Amino acid sequence: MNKAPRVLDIDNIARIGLMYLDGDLVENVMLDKLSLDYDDVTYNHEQFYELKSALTKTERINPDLDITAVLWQLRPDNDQLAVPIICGNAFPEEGWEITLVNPEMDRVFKTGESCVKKRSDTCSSHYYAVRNSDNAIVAVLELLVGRGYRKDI
Amino acid sequence: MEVYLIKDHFRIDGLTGEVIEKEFSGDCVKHGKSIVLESARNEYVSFQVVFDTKGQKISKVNIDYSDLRGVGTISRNEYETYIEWFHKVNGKYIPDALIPYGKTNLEFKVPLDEEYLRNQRVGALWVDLFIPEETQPGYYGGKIKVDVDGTTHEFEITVKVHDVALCNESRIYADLNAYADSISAVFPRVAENPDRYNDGSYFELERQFHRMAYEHRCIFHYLPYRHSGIVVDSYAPEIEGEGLDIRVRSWERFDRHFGPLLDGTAFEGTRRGPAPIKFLYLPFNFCWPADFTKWGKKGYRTEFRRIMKEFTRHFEEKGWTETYMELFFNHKKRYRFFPFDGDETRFQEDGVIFEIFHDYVKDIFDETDAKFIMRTDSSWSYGLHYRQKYADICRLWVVNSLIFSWFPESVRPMKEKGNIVFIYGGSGGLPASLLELFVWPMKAVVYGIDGFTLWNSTGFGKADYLETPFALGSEIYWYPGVRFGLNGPIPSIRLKALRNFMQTGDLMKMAEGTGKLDKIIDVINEHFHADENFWWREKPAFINDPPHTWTNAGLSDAAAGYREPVESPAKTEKIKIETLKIMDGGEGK
Repeated sequence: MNKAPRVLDIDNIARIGLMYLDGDLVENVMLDKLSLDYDDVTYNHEQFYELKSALTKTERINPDLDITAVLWQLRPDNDQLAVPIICGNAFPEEGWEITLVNPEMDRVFKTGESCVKKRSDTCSSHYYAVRNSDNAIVAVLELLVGRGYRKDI
Repeated sequence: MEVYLIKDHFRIDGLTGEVIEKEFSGDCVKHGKSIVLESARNEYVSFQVVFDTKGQKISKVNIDYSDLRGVGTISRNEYETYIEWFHKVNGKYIPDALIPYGKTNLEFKVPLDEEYLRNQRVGALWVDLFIPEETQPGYYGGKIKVDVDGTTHEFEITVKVHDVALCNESRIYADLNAYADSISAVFPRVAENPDRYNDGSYFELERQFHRMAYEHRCIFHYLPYRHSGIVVDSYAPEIEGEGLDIRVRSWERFDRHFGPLLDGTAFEGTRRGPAPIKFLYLPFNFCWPADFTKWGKKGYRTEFRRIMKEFTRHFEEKGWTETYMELFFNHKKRYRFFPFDGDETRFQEDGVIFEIFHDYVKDIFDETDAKFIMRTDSSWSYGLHYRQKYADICRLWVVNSLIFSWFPESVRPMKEKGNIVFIYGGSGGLPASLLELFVWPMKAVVYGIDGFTLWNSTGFGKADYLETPFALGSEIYWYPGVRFGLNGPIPSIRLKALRNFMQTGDLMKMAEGTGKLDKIIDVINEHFHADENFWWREKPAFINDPPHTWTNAGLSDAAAGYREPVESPAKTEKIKIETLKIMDGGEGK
């Protein structure tokens, strides 16, 4: 049986995942968005469970792809800085700390159009806008594929 | 050329010949002809042979020991010799890695390596001498002949063997913490084997770390899962199904991995004899075996409990009932995988996870003969939690050393509840005085607690550990032996020193319940010039504020006001000898 092109698989997976990622929950899951102290991360627990569960289930839709799903937000005080607010099964390539927003992710935050960042011949990050009930973009969903290992500490 | 002996608590700079512990160099006695050591029975004593070449080269050294004779004989076979390897740290050549002499591809010469240690002026050998338990107390004398390129240097060694025999089972737990799998990467032959977690090669390697720790009166404490919750291959049994159908599919590989540690056979042939390992982490965490997508639902509880029950049943069937199996959550919310801290609880609302999991496992832990316990690593919230329900939930407490020092009143209630208490902290690495390692068992004695955790022990990083170790060696207590043809770890001077200091600590703890312990603590306090605010520290002003409002700067400020135990490393020997006298029944100092 012919398989659909991988990129289509990922986009379809993202569509399913985004159906379960409630933008209103994403928007406020991190309670202290302005803290710069990494020990000060605080979450709304209930919202976190729901979102983490959606990320994990998204990762499992096609186990062959070994996807890592991550939710990103921009710092309210500096939109050039991005923060991974919830990680699925592993860290994104950038790790867990505040990082400079890359051009592809930036484009998704600004336009709402999905975008792909190619990281190597086999590894790429697929970015999708997460919107709240006002249709405002409140986060970006990253589906990282092809890394070949799970990044952790 | 000068050849001399020094004891185990100083080190010599391979570049200059100066004492590394410079501030106390006047206390470092260079023994040109003879050396006197004091020992309990059933313990190691150590010294070093130093070769100050004054710029000459040494191409061949032969060392020959005689038996030691006294009331009886201590065989020359009780000597073990190691070549000290020098690391370039802060402009010095600091010795640390120890390569078994005559057992590897490294020959002792100066310089040890023409390229890397081109400017090496001083070489050194570390010598362990084990005093068997059956040795009669008294004085023993022997000779050491050191032949350096045809010239013989002779030394007399005298060992005063005391009446007291050191216990085989440590009374203090010296815990070398580490994270699996942080050893494969520094053993290329193992790392390149994709089947290492199945074919036994990794188990054999890991077991060598456990054995080395055990021989040095430590415990290799190896966390089996990552922050994300993924369990490292082979650290958990294979499971299948979910919800009510979840079960262990196979214990086969888990048993091959851990069976020898749990039944003690992994430690056969060691000086201390085979015994089950004292502590092991369980693989259970927020993501294993229960599916975190079910968090808060009955299925999560079902999955967690069913597999935990299978664990306790399996351990009972196997007779693995001597090891404390720890349910510990290392997860930190800063890493974005979970919304609460399982480790080092800072926000009080996060404490709920202990209650949740205790509710899952309480009856299972109560019913089993195996020692399954909950563990917490505590810092910010220790002053609150030891007084709350958590003291009845968690049996093992690993507490930040600084913060623990604010709560002397916590010891009695914790001990009354039967809880096991460790303190934890880091190390200054190779540049730090060896006295630093002596202080840990001394604190266990003075505080009346069970042990200490050194973080971290296998932090090899990507640096060349034989040149300048990662973090200046502050996360390493042993080294891979691969460069010398060994597919296993080699010890370090700091590990040897820690063992020797642990022996002293264990001797002290043997006095628990007798009036001797008070005398011993008096000795410690006298040598450290300790007043009542030395070991136990004055509480900082912010102590009554909620821990999540404390700042790292505030903690640093508080610590800056305390006098640190900075004394001559020679104190380690003085305190040991006075302890031996007290344990023998004499007065001591």
